Amino acid sequence: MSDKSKAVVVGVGPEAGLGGALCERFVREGLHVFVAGRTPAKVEALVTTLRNAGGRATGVPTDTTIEREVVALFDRAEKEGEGVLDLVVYNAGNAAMGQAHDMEASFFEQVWRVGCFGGFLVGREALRRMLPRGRGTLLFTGATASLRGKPNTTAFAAAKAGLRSLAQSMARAYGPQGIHVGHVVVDGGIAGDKIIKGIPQFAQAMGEDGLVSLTGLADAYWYLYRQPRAAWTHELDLRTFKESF
Amino acid sequence: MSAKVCVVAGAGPGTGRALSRRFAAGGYRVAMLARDAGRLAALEREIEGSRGYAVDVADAAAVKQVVDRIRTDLGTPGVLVHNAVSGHFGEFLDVPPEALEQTFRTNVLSLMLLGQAIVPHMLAAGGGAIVVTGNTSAWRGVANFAGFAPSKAAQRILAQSMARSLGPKGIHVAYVVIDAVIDVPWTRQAFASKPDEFFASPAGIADTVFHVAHQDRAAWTFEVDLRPFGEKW
Repeated sequence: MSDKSKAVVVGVGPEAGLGGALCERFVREGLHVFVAGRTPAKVEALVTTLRNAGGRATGVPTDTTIEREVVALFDRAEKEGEGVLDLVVYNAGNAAMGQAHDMEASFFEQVWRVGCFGGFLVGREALRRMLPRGRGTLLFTGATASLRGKPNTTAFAAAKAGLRSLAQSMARAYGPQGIHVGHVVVDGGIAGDKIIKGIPQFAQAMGEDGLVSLTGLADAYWYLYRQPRAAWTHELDLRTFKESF
Repeated sequence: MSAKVCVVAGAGPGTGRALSRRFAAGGYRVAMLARDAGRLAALEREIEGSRGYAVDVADAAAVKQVVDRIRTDLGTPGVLVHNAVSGHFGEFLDVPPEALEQTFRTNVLSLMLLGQAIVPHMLAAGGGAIVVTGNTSAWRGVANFAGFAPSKAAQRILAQSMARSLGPKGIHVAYVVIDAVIDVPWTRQAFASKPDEFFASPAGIADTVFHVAHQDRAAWTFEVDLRPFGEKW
């Protein structure tokens, strides 16, 4: 956990999003961060910002649902830069809505591939590299849909519940071998570009601190990473004080 | 008198002591509540800025009085950590009804009483945090825990109800589930054959409670679990 550690963050979109905020925080804490997102332009923009601020960051555009791309991402993160790969976050997923009766099978499958299968690939590759060292932290981003299926979350909730169970299995299997596996349940809309720019009326209606703050989320992930192994958290929920849950 | 004030209800030699030390280190004056005045005196000597109050937290009148005294002595509490616990272990058929009643009084009723005594002052001050320490029994009733687990499950649900009621008013209520045996002298004796990684560290628990009590209000946790890495769960 020295400043010579490396991190991989998978699922990075706009700078003002959860993936971006996590990269920014980890870099600020001194880690070399491998930024993995599907869209090369967004990855590049974030890496430029991080480097301009004096941080160590490497962009690796990655489709997290393709096995060889995930393997290549980890090969690179393991080889490049100084230090040990010690922290991996799986933050990919898209809150794609829809009901079962008029949903294409391919749509359901794609939501699952990003929301769950990619988590398996990333978790597996992280574990294969961390287990021989007997240490490392692997964090998964969950959502309200990890715990509950609502009428419109048919595919999303199925994927998220799957990801949560995957994380729990990994925690139980690899905790005793020194790997800290955590699952963060983000219970509400996030105060990032996706909502603030994408659906501004909604963001406005939520009012001050009506969306889950990026700083608060980054604090929680960082705290989980720093927990001593004599008292590890597996699951943490996070919501704004205004949320009726 | 301008220092922040934290009430630790249930200040024994294990988690309560670690919590008091953590909050004192974080700049709080700590009011420690326990029935045993001798224990409190020892903690007072050890922890700078702390003060012990001998009280039965399941006694409504005594709780009201002690909260008034704390406010006069130290100021209005910004944080309440509920760590008081009463246990009973034994076969279902052998649980005396009084045992169940006792665990409910110490583990559930006291949270209600302390909350009702302190929350109005927190509201007047513009906010606060209440963190309750629970354990595996809040989730699961296993054999031999019939006299205890129901009280922890009820305590968790009371905390959840308080969180939903008080959150929008600016008071953060959280529940910490310690899913392990805590590292204190008597558990080391009782589980003498277990390795170090079997025990959860009081300092680690206290650190998480402190972290949760200071979260940004736009990212509050209600429930957080804690266990040592070696725990089978």
